Amino acid sequence: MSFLRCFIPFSLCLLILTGCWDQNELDELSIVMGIGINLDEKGNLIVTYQIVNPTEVAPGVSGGGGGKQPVFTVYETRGKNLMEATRKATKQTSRRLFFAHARMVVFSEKLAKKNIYEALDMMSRDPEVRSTIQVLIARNTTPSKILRTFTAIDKVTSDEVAAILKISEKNWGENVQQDINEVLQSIINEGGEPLINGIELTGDKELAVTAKNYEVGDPARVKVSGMGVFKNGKLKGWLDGPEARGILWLRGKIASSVVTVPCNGNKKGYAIEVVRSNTELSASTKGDVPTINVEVFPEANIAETNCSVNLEKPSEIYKVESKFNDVIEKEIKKTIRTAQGYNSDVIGFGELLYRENPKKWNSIYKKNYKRIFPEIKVKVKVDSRIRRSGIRTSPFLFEQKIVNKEEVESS
Amino acid sequence: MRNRRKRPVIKTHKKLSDMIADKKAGESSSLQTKSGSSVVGESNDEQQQVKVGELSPSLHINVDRIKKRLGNPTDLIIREFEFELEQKVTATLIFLEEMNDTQLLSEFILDPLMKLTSDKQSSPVPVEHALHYIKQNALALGRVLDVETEEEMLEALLAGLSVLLVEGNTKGLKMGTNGGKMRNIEEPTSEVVIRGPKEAFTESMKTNISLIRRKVRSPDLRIEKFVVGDITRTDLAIVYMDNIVNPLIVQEIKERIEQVKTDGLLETGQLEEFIQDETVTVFPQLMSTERPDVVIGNILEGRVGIIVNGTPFSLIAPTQFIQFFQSSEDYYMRYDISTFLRLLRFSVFIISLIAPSIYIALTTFHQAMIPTTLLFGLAAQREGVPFPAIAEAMVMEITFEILREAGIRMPRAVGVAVSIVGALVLGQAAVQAGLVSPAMVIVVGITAVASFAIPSFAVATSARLLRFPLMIISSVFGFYGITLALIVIVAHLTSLRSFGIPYLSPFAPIQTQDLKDSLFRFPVSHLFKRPENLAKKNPTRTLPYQVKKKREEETTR
Repeated sequence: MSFLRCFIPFSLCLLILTGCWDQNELDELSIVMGIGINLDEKGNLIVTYQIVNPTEVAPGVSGGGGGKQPVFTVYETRGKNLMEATRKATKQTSRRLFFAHARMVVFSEKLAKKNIYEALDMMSRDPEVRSTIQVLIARNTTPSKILRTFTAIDKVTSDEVAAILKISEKNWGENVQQDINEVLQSIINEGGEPLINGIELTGDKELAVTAKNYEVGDPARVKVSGMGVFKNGKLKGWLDGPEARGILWLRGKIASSVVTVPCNGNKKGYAIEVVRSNTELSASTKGDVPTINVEVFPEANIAETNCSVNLEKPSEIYKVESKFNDVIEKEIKKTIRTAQGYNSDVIGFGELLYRENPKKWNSIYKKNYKRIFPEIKVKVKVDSRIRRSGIRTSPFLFEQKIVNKEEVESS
Repeated sequence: MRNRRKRPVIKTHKKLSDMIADKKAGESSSLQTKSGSSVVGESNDEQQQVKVGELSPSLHINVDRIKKRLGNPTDLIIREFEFELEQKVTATLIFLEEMNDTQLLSEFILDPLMKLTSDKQSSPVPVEHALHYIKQNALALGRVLDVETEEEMLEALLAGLSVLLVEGNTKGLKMGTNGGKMRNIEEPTSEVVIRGPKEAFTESMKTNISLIRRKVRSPDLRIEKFVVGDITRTDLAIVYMDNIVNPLIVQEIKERIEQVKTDGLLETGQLEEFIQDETVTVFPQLMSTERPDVVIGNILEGRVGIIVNGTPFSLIAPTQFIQFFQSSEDYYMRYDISTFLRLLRFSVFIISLIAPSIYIALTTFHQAMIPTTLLFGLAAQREGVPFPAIAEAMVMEITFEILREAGIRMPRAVGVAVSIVGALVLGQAAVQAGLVSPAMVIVVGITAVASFAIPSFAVATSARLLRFPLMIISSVFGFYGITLALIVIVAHLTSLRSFGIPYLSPFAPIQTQDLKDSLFRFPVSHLFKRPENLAKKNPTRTLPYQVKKKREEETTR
């Protein structure tokens, strides 16, 4: 009883005295889906926010009459730093900007070439911005254009980009999802440098920013394109195509991909579908320059053959396997050579060496890593296994050949 | 605590104790006069009259007194007749017409008595022994007892017995000729099961006791009767298994019942409020049931059943929180589905408790926790709704409570109209009018359905009450507030006791054996022990089932 006598007034006071400081009704929020950051001539930041118009995105909710509105709207502000620009945005918006659901942040190439660290700090410090926000660089375009582009399937561009990254990493493997956490982690890692996905516009760039983009069958699209290599927080160059895939082989991130393996001079050759892959890295820290062993164990299926080969014979399969190994080995070696050319350890060799021999890393390698990294010897070994060849064994090209042979013999 | 609770009834307590004292005095005096009754005889009526409460040998004095006490009501029947012993004797049969079976009266009392003739008697019977004689020879009834005082006689009359007075005797006879219309045994209305006994208690305590006796043929079944209520004099019985129950619990229950001093007791709910441990709580501390099998199941676990005349709901004490999520059907169905249903019921309780507050907290504080696509949907729905989420939720919940209350109290014929209007108010129309968002309608709907899925009405009401403070707290503090409130609720539950047994047992304090029959139900063949707190005296209820083992042995041989 005495407990209640104390408790009731106390709890009533709590209700009255609180200010509900972080309470926001849903209709008082602007949900930011994407953030774009660029530099103007004076070196100030131009920040672009893509904000959803929920009534247009939500299924089955009528917009309450009136004409069709675009699914998102874009605000742009300038400021010396990101926070300043963000707060300045309230001069244009009627609702508080809400960052928790932002899917991507796009940096311009200009900013990336100058310095990326400054802009990353607020992103990672603000409790509202999620650490799973994807980081990208607008390639041959500006972030503001990317965020203004109307995309066809996922109506909100940022959503579409995040989805593209995910599906492309899983099925093709020339991109790896890089959220802000992973970017920061690769910066913090010993000797490491970040690797950030590029994004570009394809198609009619004038049309992209108008709602008409919805109406044409072949609209302007956003496309994930290559991965940017950094050195000391500055964009140095791009890894494209197989070179980019080499990174995924090295990091063991390949979930599935397709590798073309030539046969008997036929460039089309086999399409080998990788179904899972495992990568083991080990380092030997003897001597001044370390050696790194890369072992890759892919498992694959034959998805397509354009050669007349009897796939029922195991020996033929072994041949395909060894050719497949060669292709992957080349990809990986090329990637390493390129990275060494940029002198940017985007693969994470530094961290590997540190874990292998922390004392030596701290005493010798760390200081001279700039000199050592391009000289690191890498031994690549690929040991693949081809498991299945789809629901066929030998291709019909091969059967046809047998028939032809018989015809020749009989005649 | 208990003293504070009893304070308002002290007055009646005094009154009743005085009455009891008077009664005792009367009894003792009647004992004194008994020895000398033949001497004093009918010589001085006045002296007899002075002694309050004692019966007079004179018939008409007694009859007059009764008429005076009862205010000569129209249903009081006073039938005078004569029968023959040594000489002709005048007798009176007194009863309240509506409460007696008149056929019984005429067939087994009036008829044999009036046919008595002196020639059938081996030796002439003196008038003083008339009562003894007719009890032995004429009254073909099972329940015939002596009455010695006026109070006793009044009580018998009001309880529906008939009273026979014979001229020249200072005693009378009360006879069990209760009758009158009573509701039949019907199917339970509030605890419906698909599989299981289909009989329910009725308003008559006699019927209810018979329902229990019939199912428990044990000499250890104890039924003890009490009378509660100064004015209503309501019969009350406690039922328990003498060889299982903890005697201290029975003693405590008896003490608490005996201390109830009030004018009337119409339902077990009133009794519950008197004898429960804690008044300031929303949680029921005694379980009520209208199913005999539930009472029996509980007395087999060492609990005590309390049956009150005049209501089909009986109480079970002590009660644990977990019992409200168990249905008698759990023991009649397979254990796997029973376990599933128990878990479901518990989650349903949680839903009906916090669903609206979670909605409020999510949409006003933790928008980051809503999946993006759903957030778009919710935000679009909120667009154009004029009130904050808390107001929206409050309006809808209160509307639902209004509809529910209206649905219970109104005559059936109006029911359809109310449900149509209700559906409009709570549904499409409210959304279209822009008063509430569709998601809120869903939340209120889920909450409502969830609260109906809890088997115990009593505990569903607690969830119903707690829902509102939780909603307010969540609108101010978000999940932080909900968490705090839930901690307070759990702490409060832990502090409760029901007749000394922790309310949250077997969870707090933990009793591993009892957990087998808590949120889960193990197969009946594995429920070896009775609840640890309740049945220390006789803990084993099931022995290991050996048939399978034996068979296996036989086949291997």
